[in-house]
Amino acid sequence: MTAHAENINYLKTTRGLKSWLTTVDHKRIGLMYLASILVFFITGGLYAMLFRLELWSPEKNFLTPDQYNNFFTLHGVIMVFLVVVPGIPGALGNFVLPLQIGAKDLAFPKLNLTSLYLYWIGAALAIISLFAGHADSGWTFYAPYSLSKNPAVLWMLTAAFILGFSSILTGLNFIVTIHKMRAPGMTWFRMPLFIWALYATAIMQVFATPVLGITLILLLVENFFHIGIFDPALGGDPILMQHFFWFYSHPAVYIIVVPGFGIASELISAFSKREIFGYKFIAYSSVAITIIGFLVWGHHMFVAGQSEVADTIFSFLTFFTAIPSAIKVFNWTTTLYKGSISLQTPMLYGLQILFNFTIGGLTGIILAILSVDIHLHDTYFVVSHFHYVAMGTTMIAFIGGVHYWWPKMTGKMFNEFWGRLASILVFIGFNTTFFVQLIMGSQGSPRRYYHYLKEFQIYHQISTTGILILATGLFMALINLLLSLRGPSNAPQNPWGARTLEWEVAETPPVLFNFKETPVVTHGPYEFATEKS
Amino acid sequence: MSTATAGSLQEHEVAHHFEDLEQEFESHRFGMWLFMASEIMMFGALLTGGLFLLYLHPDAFAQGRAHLDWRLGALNTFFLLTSGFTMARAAAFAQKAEQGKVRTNLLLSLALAAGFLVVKCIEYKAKFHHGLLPGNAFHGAGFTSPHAHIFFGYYFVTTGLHALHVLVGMGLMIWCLKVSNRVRFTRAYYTPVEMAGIYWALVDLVWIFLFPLLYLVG
Amino acid sequence: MDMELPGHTYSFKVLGQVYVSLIVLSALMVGFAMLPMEKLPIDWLDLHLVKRLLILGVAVAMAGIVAGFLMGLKYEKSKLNAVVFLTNFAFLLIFLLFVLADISFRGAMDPSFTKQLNWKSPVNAEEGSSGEASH
Repeated sequence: MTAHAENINYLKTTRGLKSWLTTVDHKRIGLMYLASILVFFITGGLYAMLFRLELWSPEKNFLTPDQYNNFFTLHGVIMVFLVVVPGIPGALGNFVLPLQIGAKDLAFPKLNLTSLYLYWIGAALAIISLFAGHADSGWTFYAPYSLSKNPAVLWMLTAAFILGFSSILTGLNFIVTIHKMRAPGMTWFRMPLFIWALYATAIMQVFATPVLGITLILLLVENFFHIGIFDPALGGDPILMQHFFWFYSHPAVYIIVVPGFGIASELISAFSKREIFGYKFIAYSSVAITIIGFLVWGHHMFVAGQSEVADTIFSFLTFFTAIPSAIKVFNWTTTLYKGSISLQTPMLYGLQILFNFTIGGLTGIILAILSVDIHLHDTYFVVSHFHYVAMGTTMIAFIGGVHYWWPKMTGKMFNEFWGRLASILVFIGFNTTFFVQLIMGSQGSPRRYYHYLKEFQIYHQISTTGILILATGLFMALINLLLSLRGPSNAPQNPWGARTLEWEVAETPPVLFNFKETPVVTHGPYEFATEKS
Repeated sequence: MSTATAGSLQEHEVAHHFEDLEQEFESHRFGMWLFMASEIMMFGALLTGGLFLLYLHPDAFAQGRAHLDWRLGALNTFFLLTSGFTMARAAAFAQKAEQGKVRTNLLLSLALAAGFLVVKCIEYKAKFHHGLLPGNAFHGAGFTSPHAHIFFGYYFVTTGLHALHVLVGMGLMIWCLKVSNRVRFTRAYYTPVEMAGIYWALVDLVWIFLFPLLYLVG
Repeated sequence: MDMELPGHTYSFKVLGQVYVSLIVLSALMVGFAMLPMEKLPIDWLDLHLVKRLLILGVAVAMAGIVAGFLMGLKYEKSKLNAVVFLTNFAFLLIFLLFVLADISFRGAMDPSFTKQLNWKSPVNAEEGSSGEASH
């Protein structure tokens, strides 16, 4: 590598498809993740639109019941394993993490490329499953649904296993990088909160995902050799399968949402031009959520047949998740107070997170109450709660983050007017879709049903209208971003006036090894001049 | 230093994104440990599942265990512990830059690992012979518990997964042998042997719990 | 060499001691298992459980030796990897305890739920029996 090549923009150092596919540059890998995740986000979203349109009226419209089961399974698997779990860490985390802590790259660049390839292999297997039949077990692969040797389910299980591997390797890479590769002066409490969030996420990825791995292995072996560990017909215990599954999948919900919190912290502080309120509380609350996240998985199994003692313990512990979540919401709100807020596109998404997560979090508390959950279990209330967190918080944070770092990634500014309009449409569309589902669920409308009672039709129709608005907003945002690529490279080094390293020190777009010389950090990530000198 | 080959061996270079050898070594070690952590979680969950099944079907485990030969298990324990010892010696010799002795110890570990797999094959063969197989294939004689097949299902899954890790560990040893032909190990750079050693110690670690769960209690 | 040396320097003597103690401990483990302890005339103690706990104790000691000496946790300057290792066991302990909290108390309140799940669910069982009665 010549000294010259190190000092030019990473997009221009080498050219051609091969140079991208064999790159070990975390920025290019991040962009490739971003492109892949957007493709699957659109795919998963289209499935959701199709089955929501089917639900326009209770009778059959254009999908058979079998296709309907298949479509919601595909929506779930694609969105969980291919979009929200790898989404923020894979795409934005990969790009931003070394830049924010002043490192040249992640600790293991080749491993990073490996996890991208594993992601692609997992995605390919998921696509094979589309053609192998109808996967209909839901994304949770509960035994004995998943033990019928359905080829589509088998491919899906394998896909999820490989994707889990990819997720572990990403998490491992992030933890080592954060521990060992920080620039001089980048102490733990000078790290941006996005890094804290990624760190907490990575801990869960490394410690929880292997349990999913062994669950999926056991399910595959059970399918082929009938070992009888999970299969009740052979003397096994399907609840054990649920313990295994949720020991991963509850932390996975936090793997999904915690990086979103990190982005919210960045956005809200940067666009309020105000030091984030209670930095250490937000940082520690990410770690607290991680630990609590490992203690509450049984609240998914209140009506599954686990013992009442376990139910009670899990219900009690679940309330504790409210504490770190509330700390975050209150601190973000307080950061806004007396800040000089500029309502640019990324900030509009930041504020949506605040709104949506408040609803998502509070409905979670309702569901944690044992007796109430028995009424609400498997209703649209749960669907709505989950979507307020996974879509309303994480994906909104993802989209906000993409807008926020887009100038750094590409060197181009997007059109602010269309960006804002799109974000408003997303807000209206999202809440129209899911708020009615809370009402519908509280009245007892069960989830995943193909037919429903006539009195729920109006709610379904409002929800379906909402998803059309949401889709319009999302496509508008996407087209707006893509159109900016054709425009001039007009992005300044620090268009938002943020104080973190990637904006203050790194060029737009960054050079091959991120910084021309290793930066020395002398201030915290959110010390804005208006407050302190 | 083994002078015979010293001339043809390269010195290790620190990768571009690390500051120095220490940072590189520590990062690799930490990364390896995190990987081990995920492996421990995976096997740990599997063992927890085993305890759950032991609690659910104590008869099946008691009768199943009676059909395993603890002497073969103990022999395998001996093989693994000894190979763990030789792997650690390989790392120790790598620090002393005694390339030849590193290779000898790696080959010894490889042989012991192969011994483990041979014993495993003998055990598997006996199980196949007596029909002690998982699920519907089970047709073992003399069991009163209707769930005895679960014990053997569990036995094959756990030992099979462990054997797979033994194979990977052997692959790592072969990789170390290859590296030792190319790069000179010194006190400052012995990372490959150290990493393979950590992985191999994990294989030991898992077996230390698997052996009593399957062969001794039940 | 002016830079810091990575890792710790292995001692052959310590490695030998580690090896011997591991062999002795595994012999002890087999010994405990072979001991006809449950035949002792003590009825106020679950001797099967005592035996299992003894074996588990030996296994944990062996695991500690392997992790400490062969995997080098004892020699670390920063105890980072030791923290990772202990975190592992903390999470696994949580997993084990909560799973046991489920299985040990199944049917504690509703006797129609047995330890192994009653796969005729209470709802269906009632329907089934009433159906039979009507025939």
